[in-house]
Amino acid sequence: MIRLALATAVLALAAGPVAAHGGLPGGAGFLSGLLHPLVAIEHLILLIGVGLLAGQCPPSGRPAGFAAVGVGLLGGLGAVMAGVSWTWAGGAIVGLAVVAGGLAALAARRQPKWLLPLLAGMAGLLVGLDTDATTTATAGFAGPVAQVAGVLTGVYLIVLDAAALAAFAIRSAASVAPRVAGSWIVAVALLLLSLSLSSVAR
Amino acid sequence: MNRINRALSTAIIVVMLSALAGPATAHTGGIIGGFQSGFLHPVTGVDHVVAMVAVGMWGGILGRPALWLLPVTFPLAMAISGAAAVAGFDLGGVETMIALSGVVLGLCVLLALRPPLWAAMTLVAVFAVFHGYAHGKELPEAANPSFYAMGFVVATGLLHLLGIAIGYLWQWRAGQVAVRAAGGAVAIAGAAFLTGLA
Repeated sequence: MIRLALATAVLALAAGPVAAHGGLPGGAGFLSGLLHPLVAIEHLILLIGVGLLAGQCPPSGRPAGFAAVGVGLLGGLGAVMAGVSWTWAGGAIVGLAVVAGGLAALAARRQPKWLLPLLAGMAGLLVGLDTDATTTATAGFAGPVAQVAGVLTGVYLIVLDAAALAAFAIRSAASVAPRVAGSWIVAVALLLLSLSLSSVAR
Repeated sequence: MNRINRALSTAIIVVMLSALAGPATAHTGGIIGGFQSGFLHPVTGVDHVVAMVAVGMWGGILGRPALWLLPVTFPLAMAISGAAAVAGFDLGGVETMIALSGVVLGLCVLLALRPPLWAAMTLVAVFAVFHGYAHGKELPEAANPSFYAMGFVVATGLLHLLGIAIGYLWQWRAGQVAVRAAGGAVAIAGAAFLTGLA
């Protein structure tokens, strides 16, 4: 299971060079959408944090969380396409990453049932609000739709991989690993916040 | 079928990782370059490495919940001081305290000290402040500061996990000797940096 998860993650990362040679209509849009959450570090750490949290939850609580990510993401992407823009989405994403990472590190196994769907839905919504799916070079309907499909695929690859690895780890000798990884998310998010604050101060 | 799946996924990982190796070295100023330089910063400094590994080993000796609380405390304290460094705060004696962290944490492992949990966490957090400051000071100048930050946090955490893995040997009598010996080696390395011999 862990090898398949790793293979999927590596395949997703390896898609980079292919993006320049998209031959199918909408192909370039799909690939740029797929890569967006992987190369936007704020999105990446938030989604890994949500995945780490989900992987440590009781299995019965996970489906609602996974569904909430998609619903929130489509809502956010739809809002952007309808012309809504929120300039603070990037900062809110880093803030939510601190919460998700902190919970994954300290309290993942004692959380109420409603917390994961709420957090996952907010994560999806914020990532959607911070992603402009109308920038694809492909004209017409195929471009934006393919890009939305790409973003959705990329987001689920990250969340499901992180959740699968966390769920695997807590049943093995490496049961502390998801907690430790959660603290890494908080640490990276705090450093990103300080970097953005210092650039604003300059 | 399982064996085929395992072999197939391993092959995919190997092929894709080798395919990724080219761009990784070519674009040193981009995402991978930023991550790489951040990742290498704690790994290439022996004074950092020995202290990180000692944190994990000490957690292994103390057992749960210190096993995960110490490696969770460290990056959080490290990030706060790293953020302070980015903001321009000055902190003196950084190199001395980093070397001292090797001596003290190495001795904690060598002597298998068992202080109260809060005391162990405080000690680790204090040393983490100096390690984080050293990394954070280089953050704004990095080619890609965001991925540099991610790189050094991940490298630090992996060194903790390496220490935890060594600390698992504590459950066997011979393993306890090995872990204590590793702690002694960390203390000696820290002392060498502290006295300027290394």
